[in-house]
Amino acid sequence: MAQIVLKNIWKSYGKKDVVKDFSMTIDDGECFTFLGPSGCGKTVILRMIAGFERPDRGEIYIGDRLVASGEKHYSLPPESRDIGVVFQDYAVWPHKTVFQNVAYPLQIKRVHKEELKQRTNTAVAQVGLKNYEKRYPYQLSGGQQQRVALARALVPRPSVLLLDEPLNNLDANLREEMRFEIKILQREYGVTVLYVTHDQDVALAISDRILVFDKNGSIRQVGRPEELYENPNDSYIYKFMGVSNFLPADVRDGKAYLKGTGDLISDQALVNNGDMTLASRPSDVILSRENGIVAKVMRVAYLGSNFDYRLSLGAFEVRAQMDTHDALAQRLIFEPGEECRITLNKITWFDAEQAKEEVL
Amino acid sequence: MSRLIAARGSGKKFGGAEIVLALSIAVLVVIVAVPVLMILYNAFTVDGKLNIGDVVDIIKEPDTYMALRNSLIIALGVTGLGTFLGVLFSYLVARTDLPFKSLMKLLFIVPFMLPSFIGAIAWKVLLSPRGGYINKMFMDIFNTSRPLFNIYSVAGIIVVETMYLFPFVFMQVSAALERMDPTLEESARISGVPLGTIMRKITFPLIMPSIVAGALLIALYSLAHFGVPAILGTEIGFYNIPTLIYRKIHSSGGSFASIRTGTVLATILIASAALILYLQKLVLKSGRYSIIAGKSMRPMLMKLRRSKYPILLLCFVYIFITVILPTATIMLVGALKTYGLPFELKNMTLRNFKYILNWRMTRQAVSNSLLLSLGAAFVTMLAGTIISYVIVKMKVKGKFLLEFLGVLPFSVPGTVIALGVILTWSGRFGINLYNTTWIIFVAYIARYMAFSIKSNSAALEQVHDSLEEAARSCGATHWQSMKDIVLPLIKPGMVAAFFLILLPALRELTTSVLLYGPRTRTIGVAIYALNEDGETVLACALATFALLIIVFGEIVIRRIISAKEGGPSGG
Ligand SMILES: Nc1ncnc2c1ncn2[C@@H]1O[C@H](COP(=O)(O)OP(=O)(O)OP(=O)(O)O)[C@@H](O)[C@H]1O
Ligand SMILES: [Mg+2]
Repeated sequence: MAQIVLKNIWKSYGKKDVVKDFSMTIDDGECFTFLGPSGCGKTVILRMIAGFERPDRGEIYIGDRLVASGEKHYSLPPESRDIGVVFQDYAVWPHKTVFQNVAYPLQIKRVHKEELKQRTNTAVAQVGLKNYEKRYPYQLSGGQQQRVALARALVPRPSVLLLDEPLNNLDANLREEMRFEIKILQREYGVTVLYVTHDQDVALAISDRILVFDKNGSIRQVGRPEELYENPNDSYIYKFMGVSNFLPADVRDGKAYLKGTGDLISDQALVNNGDMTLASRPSDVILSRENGIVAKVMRVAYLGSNFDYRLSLGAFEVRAQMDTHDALAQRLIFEPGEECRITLNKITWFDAEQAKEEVL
Repeated sequence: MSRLIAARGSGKKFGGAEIVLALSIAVLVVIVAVPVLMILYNAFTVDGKLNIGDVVDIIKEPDTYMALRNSLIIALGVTGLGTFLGVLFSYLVARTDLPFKSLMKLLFIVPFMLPSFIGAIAWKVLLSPRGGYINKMFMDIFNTSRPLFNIYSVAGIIVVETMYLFPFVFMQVSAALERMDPTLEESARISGVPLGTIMRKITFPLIMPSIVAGALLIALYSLAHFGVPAILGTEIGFYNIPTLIYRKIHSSGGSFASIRTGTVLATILIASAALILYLQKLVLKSGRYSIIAGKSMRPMLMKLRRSKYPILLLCFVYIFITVILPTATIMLVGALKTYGLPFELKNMTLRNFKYILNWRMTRQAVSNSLLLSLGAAFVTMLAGTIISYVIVKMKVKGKFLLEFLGVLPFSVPGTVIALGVILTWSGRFGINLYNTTWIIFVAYIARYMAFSIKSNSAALEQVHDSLEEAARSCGATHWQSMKDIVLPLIKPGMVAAFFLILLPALRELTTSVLLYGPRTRTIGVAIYALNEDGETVLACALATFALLIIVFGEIVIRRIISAKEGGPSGG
């Protein structure tokens, strides 16, 4: 019903092409995430879908309806697109109370008084702001304002919900709670969600599919969260999906040596001979006293559930994470300056040439 | 209106946005640009041909040359004296342990609200060489025929103008001293640098841009000032540019030669005003980085010690002389049976006030002024809102033209606007408004549009685009989002604009004195004319009403503005 189709979209500001030949289909009822570094054009695309900007070239459909066409110089105004938007800066109206903010879309639609009251109250309660109805935005915290914005976007039951970093200003707990909430609301309403962020944790948690941009605004990979995490197309995606270690290696007949040393990192390198880059997550770096190659502990940070180590492996730095319970049980707690041994458990291989940027 | 974005989107060359832009530009061109262009055109052409030689001849005429010289002398004197007083008092209020500082701060700004020509009348009453009350008293006591001080002089004009213009520097410098990061001074203090050196080496360089900016404002206003020189200078044949323009236009009954002289003088005013504003912009730009906006810390205060109370007394004496004495004089003279009688109860009467209230001329003047200022404030507020909206919020090409036209009147003095309006609206383009209230109305709109645009733009800048976009995404049309979101949020700015225009327009003299006809006097013109005709008592009685209206207006506006700041959107 409310699929979003973007066809060969171009958009430039001045001489700068921000969006270049961008095409994508977001399925009906899907939670789709744009993930990319700051300035890659996520917000610009979202604004074109919302109708605040018109593409220079290309077409946008919401459902079966053509809503924008660069060639035809056509753009359906935002109010006719049946969308809800949550802005990067909340955009809660300072002269209206929480209730008035949330009720406004229904008021515009001329929903009957009783129904308006009931639907507004439900929406306010859904985002956990019951008893705050009469407050003005300046009496709310940033997180609460963001929830008002969310309730306001959801209350008219739009077929498409566009969220631009809606959880940016929340603390970690609230962020987790809210991303659950968004997910639940999305299922409940069956609304198509486009979520824009540069936070991969949130993206992994709520998305049905993720699109990763590089800093030039080109698509690097599209896929389900686990796909991106487990089978990244390239080292860029790998790096974007979480804290990563990259090491240059010399592969000879299935054995991988740390470049420039004789240290054997892996004897199961089932890749081509020659220069390769290996990648691993800190949680897959196993510390021990006996097995593996020698590394030196540079820094240790205790993070509660785990220890975070920064190790030096010759000229390279390796991050390792160890579960606190395991570390205590196995008496594997190292001090800065100590030597330890490491093995890399789950290794992903990349072509050295391709991964050059990430290793440096 | 409701389809602005849609229209923009549909790519027609001329959508709703473009129409609003075109209309706004058209209004500003007709109201603001055409009069200014008419002045330049008339100054530089004779019979439709460029003629520079004639311009030089006009400047060489002794009349014009003297007026230029006088304007310059007065401007220099007022700027020097005003800057000195402004810096001195702002430093005392902001950086010393002087008592009653917040009261003082308020009192020092009061002269700003009072019309300077009324002040000039008061000083004429007190210090005119023969009839002035103070001079008479002085001559009686010391048995001499030499007056204490002759207010009909260059020095007199400079001193009286300074009283009303020094707040420009006072306000600029106070603000800078308050915003200045006190840690700069403190760190120097901690390293043992004496206070005098700190002031010289740190404080003054930091506030210098504000001092210069304020001084330039004084110069700008003084150069084009009409009221004080008209009342104190004309008596002794002393003319500056605006008063000479007035004399030329009035005495000649609109002959071509006198209008030409007027336009040449006006052109000089425009050019010097533009230069001053340009300099001010440069200075403010260079000063922006040196003052840090952190207002949290308390600046260190200079201890005045033993000189504290003498200085306090000095401040009060200053305020007494510049505010209370002239105001009281006006009210007392307004109550005299005959001008010149001593201020004794037996010489006092309320008859003058009654007379003023019943006299057709004054009643007409008051109602003219009220209608003109309310009308101009209202129209300018609305037009200014729309124009600011285009400038701040709309993405259309060519709006820089609007911005330029919008601030242009800032550099066009009231006399020049009046002259331009005469040239434009006296039938030359098929519409003749001469001698009607409308010509003053048009001039007021031209003169005050910039105030409205400034106030409304500032308010609109505060309304982030996403607030409007949020409304659009909630299903509101462009028009609905304007009505429900933008207008309520900028209402305080609009109200402020309304009063910022209403109050100056109520006491306006410079523009209307060139435009009034037999039945279109304003309050300012009526007071001025009564004074000219020697009806000093009636002039003062009417001025008393004017002062009451102004004070009442100021109190109302302060109430409204402070109520707004406490409201829900103020958090
Ligand atoms: N109205 C505009 N005028 C000019 N340039 C713009 C405009 N809007 C965006 N840009 C440019 O387009 C590029 C992409 O901006 P965009 O806001 O889409 O980034 P983003 O991916 O949302 O980044 P962030 O994660 O920081 O929000 C930026 O380089 C920006 O400078
Ligand atoms: Mg963005």
